Amino acid sequence: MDQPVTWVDVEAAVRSWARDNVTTAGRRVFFGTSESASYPQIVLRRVGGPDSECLVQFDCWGKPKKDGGTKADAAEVAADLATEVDALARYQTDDVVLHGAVVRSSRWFPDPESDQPRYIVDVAFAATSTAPVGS
Amino acid sequence: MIQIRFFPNELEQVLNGEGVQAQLEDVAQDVAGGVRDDVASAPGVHVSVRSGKSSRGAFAQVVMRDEEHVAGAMAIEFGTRGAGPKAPLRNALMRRAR
Repeated sequence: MDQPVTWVDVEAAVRSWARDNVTTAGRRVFFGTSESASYPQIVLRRVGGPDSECLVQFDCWGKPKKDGGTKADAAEVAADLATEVDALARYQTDDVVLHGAVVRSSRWFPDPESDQPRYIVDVAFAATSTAPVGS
Repeated sequence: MIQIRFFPNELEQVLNGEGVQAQLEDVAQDVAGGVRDDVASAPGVHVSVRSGKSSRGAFAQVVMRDEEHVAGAMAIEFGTRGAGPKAPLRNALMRRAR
């Protein structure tokens, strides 16, 4: 009989990983847009899939256009993120192990309401609990 | 003994033969159904399927369309600065893939 799988907080682990590795965001990686932090920012949200193939959407935000923000600012962060995803071999927090990840897509998609520069990067992560199976 | 036989045009038949368009449309309808379930509460977003034959063969598409002047479908799928993505299309595709 298979052991039940322990589901984990993949988003928390991914946020920790992104803060440690995507240097162009300067640790400004959040679960929602931060009004008090500067740009560029990354906002990440789990959009679907099981832990073994967890799809996370990253919004790579450049500065608003009224503040001189450009497409290139957002593109730089998206490229840095995608490169670090490709390099991910294993990342561990107290509760979660990220075993690897793959970029599913990267698309230019500014905010439909404000036209603020944004690249959306979809990444599938493979995650498990750090607890031994059956514990 | 292993014997390999090659039938000219067999792949062409598989890709463009009778029934392929209908099969593709079935898949698209399945995905569209999943998307409709997720956007049921979103006014102004319409989900439809179109299919046909092109120069590259049979195809089927799931189309999410906004009513005029209502930027709904893309905002629902990918989110905005203030609201997170609901991703109905991506979720329907993932469910279909599993």
